[in-house]
Amino acid sequence: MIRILHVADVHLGAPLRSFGAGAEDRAERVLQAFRQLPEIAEREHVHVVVMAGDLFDTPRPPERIDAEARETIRRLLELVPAVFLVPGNHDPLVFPATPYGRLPPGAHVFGRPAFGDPVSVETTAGPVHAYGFSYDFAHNPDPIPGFRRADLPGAHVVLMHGAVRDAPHWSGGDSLRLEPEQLAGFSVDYIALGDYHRFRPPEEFAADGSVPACYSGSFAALDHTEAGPRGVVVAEVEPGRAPSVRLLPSGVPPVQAVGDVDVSDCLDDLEAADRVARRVDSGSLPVVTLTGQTEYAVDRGRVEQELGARFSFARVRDRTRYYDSDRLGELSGRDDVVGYVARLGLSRIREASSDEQARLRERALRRALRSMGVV
Amino acid sequence: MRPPLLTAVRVRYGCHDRRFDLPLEPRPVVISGPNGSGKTTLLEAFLRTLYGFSRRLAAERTHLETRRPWSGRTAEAEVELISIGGDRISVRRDFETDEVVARDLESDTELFRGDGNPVGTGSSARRFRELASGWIGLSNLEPYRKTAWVGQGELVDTRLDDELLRAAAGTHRKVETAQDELRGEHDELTWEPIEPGGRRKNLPRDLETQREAAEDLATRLAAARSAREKRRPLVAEVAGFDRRVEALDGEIELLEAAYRPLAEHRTLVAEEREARARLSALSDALQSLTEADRGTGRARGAVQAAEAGGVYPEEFGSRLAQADVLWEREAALEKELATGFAPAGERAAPASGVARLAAVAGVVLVLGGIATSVLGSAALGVSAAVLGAFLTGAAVRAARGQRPGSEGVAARVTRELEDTRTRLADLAADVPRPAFEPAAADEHRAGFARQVKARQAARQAERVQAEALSRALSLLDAAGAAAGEPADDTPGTLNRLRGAEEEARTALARVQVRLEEQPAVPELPEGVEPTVAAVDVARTDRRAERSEIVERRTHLELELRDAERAAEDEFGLERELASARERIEETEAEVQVRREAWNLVRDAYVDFRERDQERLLGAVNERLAALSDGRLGPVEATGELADACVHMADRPVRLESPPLSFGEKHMVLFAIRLGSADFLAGEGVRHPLLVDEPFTHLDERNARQVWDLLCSLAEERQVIVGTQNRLFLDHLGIVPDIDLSAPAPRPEASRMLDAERVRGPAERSETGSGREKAERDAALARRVAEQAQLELG
Repeated sequence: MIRILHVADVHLGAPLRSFGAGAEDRAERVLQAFRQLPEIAEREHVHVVVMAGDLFDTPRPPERIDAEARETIRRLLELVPAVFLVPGNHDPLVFPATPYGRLPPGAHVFGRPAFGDPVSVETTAGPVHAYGFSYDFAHNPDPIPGFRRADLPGAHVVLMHGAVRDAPHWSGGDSLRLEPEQLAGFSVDYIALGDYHRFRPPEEFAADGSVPACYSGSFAALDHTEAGPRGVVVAEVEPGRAPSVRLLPSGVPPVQAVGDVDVSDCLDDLEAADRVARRVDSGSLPVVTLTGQTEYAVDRGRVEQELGARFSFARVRDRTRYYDSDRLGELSGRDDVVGYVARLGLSRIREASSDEQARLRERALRRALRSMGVV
Repeated sequence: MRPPLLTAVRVRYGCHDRRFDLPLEPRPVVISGPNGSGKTTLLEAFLRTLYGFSRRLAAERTHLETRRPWSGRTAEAEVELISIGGDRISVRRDFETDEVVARDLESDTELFRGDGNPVGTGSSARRFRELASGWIGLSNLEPYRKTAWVGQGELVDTRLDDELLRAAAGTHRKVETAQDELRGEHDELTWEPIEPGGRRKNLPRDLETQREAAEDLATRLAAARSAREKRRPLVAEVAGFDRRVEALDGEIELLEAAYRPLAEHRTLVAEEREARARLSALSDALQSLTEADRGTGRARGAVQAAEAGGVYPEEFGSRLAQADVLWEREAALEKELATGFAPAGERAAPASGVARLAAVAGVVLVLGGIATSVLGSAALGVSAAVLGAFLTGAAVRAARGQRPGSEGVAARVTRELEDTRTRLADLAADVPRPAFEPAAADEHRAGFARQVKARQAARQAERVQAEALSRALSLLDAAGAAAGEPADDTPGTLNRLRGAEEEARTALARVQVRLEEQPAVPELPEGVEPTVAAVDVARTDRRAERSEIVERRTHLELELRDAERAAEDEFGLERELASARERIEETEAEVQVRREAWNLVRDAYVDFRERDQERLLGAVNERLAALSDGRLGPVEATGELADACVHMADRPVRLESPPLSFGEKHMVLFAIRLGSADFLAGEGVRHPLLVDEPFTHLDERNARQVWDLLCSLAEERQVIVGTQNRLFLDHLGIVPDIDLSAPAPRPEASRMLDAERVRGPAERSETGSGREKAERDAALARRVAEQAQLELG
């Protein structure tokens, strides 16, 4: 049985702006986690490593990123006989100074725009024959029909970076587009895919495992929308049998979609942050929506700030209702200017022409009261 | 909330150039002095140090001029205070430049240094106003002047109107603070005005910067997409060139692969042709030489056969012709001799001379004919000889007829006959058989002709052989000739020719074998003839085309590189743009929230303002009741505040004098000021009350009531009173805290301010008496403790 370490969409050098002030730190964490690949390879006793595109976020990454990638692949090659790579749509081989051109010997980059003969390596578990191509719309818009399986004993593995019909990049520009039927037509033992950022095991391509394709997903969440575990795949491949895959976390803090958290009975932002924090897994980055009828004006920014201090990053959406709270009722009953503000604000919320306008006016009321010293 | 306290002032302002420390007990601080001693100036100095002068107003500028020190130096002052938060703060202002330095006296740290212009719009001026508001509760002088700063002139000018309400309304302060805060936040986010019709800021703020960045990103993204679109055909064209170059390389490879076998084939064909030609030439030469040799043999055989009976001399023809003449002469002579001689008369003598001449001519002709036949034309020679012989015979016959006698004639004939026979014998020498006689003449003639013909044929054959030999020798290599073989050695030559022919045949066979061993016609690009020339031309053409394509590809490559240089990472830009747009949406929402909030506060306050009027009048009436002991009041306004009336003896009267006396009016205006100050303090901050000449126009009773009220107020807030009425103070037993009638000390404030300017704040503590400082600190601590107690109570 051949064990394959399947890596894709690492996006080394990505700016990760979605993580705000923590972007730089997260980029460093991604780099650190990438450096750990040889340890994973050793621990999992893998026989070969495949990288299915977008190793780099841009075709011309900074020199430091380039050097880190070279060093990590060099260390991987001390453990496995070969590392196979295909470029992705973020790091195509269109520029002369492509980092793929400087990888150490033993790292085989499929640089031609069409399938060719496989590159075969002998591993301790048997021969592995790898196929791949560097997608180039201009030179070869449809390279799939050019695939020919070599009549050789051993495991046959295909590397591709492209979007299967139901993936988000399906209609995206010059990306490689794959039909599920095409994947089913490959008579190989494993298809290592890149481009789609969510882990997608073979069972999601065909319930009976007849399509041995797998997206490893992004190595680490590139923005706060990429919730859930991210990492690399260890695929156990045996000729003639459906592959078995496992997703191993990369170690970069994952984004956790906490969902809705009712903070109705919270008395202030700190308590609301506490309530959210109790539902966040250790080491995760929460993305949460606050809901409920609160008795105080929730300050989304403060809750986000509080959670960010605890988890290094947090994204908070405020869907709480305040305008019909007892506290606001009490304020609107006062015979001072605060009461006037509360009453007028409530009246305007009720007159809002849309939910969005109502939310905006509620935020304005909260802000007005806070500016007048009401908490 | 603690009331702020003014604790000291160092002034170089107006007539003052000294430091004044204020007692901190909960009682009014009294500043006394005669007219013109600077009481009002001193009171004013506290607030002007904090709030400065607005240089936009001519009155303020004029006022500032009046406060320029008499020494002519720069107006400058420093106020020490205890802030709302309990911090000991000093604020120093240079009135010329409006530079302000604020320091925390406890920690001796500088809190602010910069522009203290009260109407400045810069961040520094705004920051100082925020600090001042935080320390003393007001950010500018205007509300102070209308409320807690009861200046003598200002009191006279007091108007109960909306302006006072706006200035005194604590709600207004709260609203103003809230609106300022919202406006500040709004203005940090965008340069658009928060209120309709407002003026846009000069510099773009967050939102504009973000929009500009987003536009820039969008432009860059469009450029990147455009570059990609531009790159697409270029890439396709480069790919087309690559394919063509690849095809050409293949064809050139084929052509180059085909060139050698084709060239070899061509060489072999040429070699075969050459070998074949040589073989043919050698064969021809061999055949020619053989035939020539044979011909020569045959000719020589014919010559031998013709000469079998003997060899006729070369000049046998002429001999035969001469012999014919001689034989005829002999026959004639014999006949003459045999027949005898005719009469002399019959043989007329007259012809003797002519006969003799004709005989000579005949002999000459015979000799000439013989010579001609030998040397030249045989026919001509024979003809000439025959003619000569005929003439000679005729002459002889003529001569015989002329002989004078027959004996003589017979002798002569005999001699002639002998002579003829001798000559014939000579002619017959070396003539082969048969005998050389007239009967055999024809035979000899035929034999001679055969011999002549055979010899001519032999010579011809020899010439042919020589030519064939020469040709053969020229075909043979020079080495053979150099070997010393005789050039005319036909057999040897024939042998060599045969050897050479064999070699040529072998060479031909070898070439033919190589030709047969040549592979079939090599694979060639379509349309190319399988010839060396065609291949050469095709190869040259393709190489030229390849060079041209490579050159064009290089240009395209450069163009592509340019396009690629212009191209940025689209995905990165898209992500950045999406992120930027998200941030813009968030910022726009934040701006909208601030704007809505600001409008909400403003609109709510408009509704609330009517309520404020009632509250203000309530505060005023409370103070008026205390001041007048119920004799005046209440002040009421049924409509506009400016139309308010005060009840006096249960009838409303206008707030004017008359109907009010000056004293009553003073009481009402003072009550309005105190009420306004209370109203302002109602929101939490009890600002120091600065009252100038509170006893003017008042009788003793009213003055005492005012004093009692001030003493009452001083328990809640600091009250500083300035008065020139020393009699009244003495009457009430009040000792002024600051007596400006006393002689002024040396200009210590100037010294201190200048010294500090030179030495800096670190050395500040060294100035002044240590004992005085300790006393001040102790008093200050007591006052702070009392205030704190008051707070707790």
